[in-house]
Amino acid sequence: MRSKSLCLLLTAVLVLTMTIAVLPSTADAETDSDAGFTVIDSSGAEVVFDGPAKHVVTLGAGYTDTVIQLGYKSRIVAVDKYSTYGYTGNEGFVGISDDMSLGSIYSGDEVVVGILQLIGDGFLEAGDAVIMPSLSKSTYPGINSLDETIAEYGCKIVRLNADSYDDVTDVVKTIGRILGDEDNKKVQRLEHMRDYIVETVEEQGLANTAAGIHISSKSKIYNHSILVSMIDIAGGINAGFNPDYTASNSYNSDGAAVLQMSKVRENTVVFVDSGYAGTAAEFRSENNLDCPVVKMGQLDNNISPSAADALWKVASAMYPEAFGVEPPSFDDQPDHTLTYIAVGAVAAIVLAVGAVVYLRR
Amino acid sequence: MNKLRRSGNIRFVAILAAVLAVTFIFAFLGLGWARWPLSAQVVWDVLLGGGSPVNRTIVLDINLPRVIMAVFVGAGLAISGAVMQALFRNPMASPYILGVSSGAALGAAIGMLFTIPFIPYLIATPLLAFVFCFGTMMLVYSLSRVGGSTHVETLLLSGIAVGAFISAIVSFLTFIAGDRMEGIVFWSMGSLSKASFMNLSIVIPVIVAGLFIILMLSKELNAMMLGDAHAMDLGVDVKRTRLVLLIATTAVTSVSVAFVGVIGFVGLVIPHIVRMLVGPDNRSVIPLSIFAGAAYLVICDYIAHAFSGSVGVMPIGIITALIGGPYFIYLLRRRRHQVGWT
Repeated sequence: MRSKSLCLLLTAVLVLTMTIAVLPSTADAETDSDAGFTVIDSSGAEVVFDGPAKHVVTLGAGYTDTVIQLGYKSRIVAVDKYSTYGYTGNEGFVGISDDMSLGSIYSGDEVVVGILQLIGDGFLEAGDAVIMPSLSKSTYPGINSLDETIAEYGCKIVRLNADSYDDVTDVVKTIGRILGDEDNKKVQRLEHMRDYIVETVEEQGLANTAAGIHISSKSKIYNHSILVSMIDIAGGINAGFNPDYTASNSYNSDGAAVLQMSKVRENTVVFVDSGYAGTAAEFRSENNLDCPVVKMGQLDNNISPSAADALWKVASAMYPEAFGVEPPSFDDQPDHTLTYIAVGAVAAIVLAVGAVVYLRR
Repeated sequence: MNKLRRSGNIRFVAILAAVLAVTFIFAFLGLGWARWPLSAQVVWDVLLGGGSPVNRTIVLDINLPRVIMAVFVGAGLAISGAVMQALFRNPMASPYILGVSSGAALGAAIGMLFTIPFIPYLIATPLLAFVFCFGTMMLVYSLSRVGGSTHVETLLLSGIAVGAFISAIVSFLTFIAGDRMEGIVFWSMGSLSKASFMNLSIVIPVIVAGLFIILMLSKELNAMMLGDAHAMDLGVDVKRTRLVLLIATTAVTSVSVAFVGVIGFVGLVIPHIVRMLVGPDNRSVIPLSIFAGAAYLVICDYIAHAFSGSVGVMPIGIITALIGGPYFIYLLRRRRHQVGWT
């Protein structure tokens, strides 16, 4: 009788322990909620969703890459012409064929008409999302007519812009939310990368000891850009900043200006956009530079989880000794290892004791 | 003589019927354009009041304003070109000869780059394009007045000079535009994609009024083609007629350019083609140019959309130039009398 009671007690403890261990993982599942939510986009509009979008149209390579990297490529119904595998050549975009392209958002009508047809043919339904940049209504009235054109069909238009790395993180989080996956690994990686670099720069006293210049393939130097914000996060100085052009994000320049700017400070690195046809070495040679030149990737200065790797690239270019070539691997899930070890140990002890008691009866 | 006149009338009516038929065919095709083109049956169903809500939106709300805009802008630019060629007695004249296209581009560039107080940003670009277009014409006219009179040659040269100067300013603004450079460049290529019923409510009345004025003065235009002195001998008030015609054509050109950008070669090529068909009499050239210009732009709009699957919808100014340019070279190589000028 006594051993029976002991067995029952041990079983109850075992069940209770396993229940407690399961709690962290159920807490994760609850964040992927099907409940309604509201997103405030870059234009200030409140977009109300009844639940995660089952299908999305992404009008921008960065948004497309974000959805792909979050693991929801199958939900992409259509893209703009700059988001296809044929255009980007990016392996992650395999499967995003030219047939899925609606054209360029800058010409307006073809994208609007394409989305209407997707609705008419049932590929887009109420609650699905169109993710696009916020463009000037006076310059691009065509694409901005999308709101009134598809309003009656219940599809949601979400305009997302980003001028900095932190904005990119917010946009990736927002897109994750739209897909029902807000606290996803990519957001965590973006945040952890930022924190790691900021901490390392602080610990090693590297702030303001290096500088960066962001230049486009068309010889525009940036006062403000996502990449410039990465230089800032990594404790660098924007050596390309021109106070005479604060009204604009960039200004036209030439090789002579880049050369002069690169000489003002030691440890200046020039970051050139992926649109430049040649290699970094060719850019360096063309402009008679003797500082390091880094050619950035296609999505490095874009709204994409790839910004985390780009931030690492910027930091390691400016401080090669502090940051190695390979970025650290962040554990993207909350650390429940100890919990699982404890549960396993308790379960094992309970089973062992139970077995001994039973056998000795 | 009566037989000649009768055969001329029959010829005119036959050509007009053919032009109208072509216009309707390509307008119908244009209504069916979409990412996945709509069949003729679907378009027909929509026009008869049926069709799915999506198809109705595509045909009636998106494509129809664009096609209507092509009709009226094409008509306006063609008739403006015919008037300019007659006024200046110069077969190379076009609606933009007085530098008005540069003026419109300047207004549009200012509207896109700067925030103008008291003017809502949505109408800033077309409004400024219209104002600067008209203002350029007035500037050129006033600069060319010598001793109280305006000579055609002086008007022409003033237009070229002012146009070149304004183009330089536009180039400068484009250079400093930064992120908005693309908008200015696309605008200057000409596009019908901004057409809407709201825009048409301004464009149609102005163009129709301008066409009406020009049609009324087509007989006087015939006289002016003989020279100012001969025209005055025939009882034409040359000064007043020229000013009224310039204002009418500039108004038509300005309102067109304000909403669709600069579309070239319509006003240059169409009057020549029409003269080849019906002769140099402006009483025939002017009305036929209206319909021929409409047909031309509707066809070009269709072509601009036809290749959208591979290169995207092209700015219509590219198509009119690609077709008009080589054809104009062909016209130039023929003897002058064969193009119906004399």
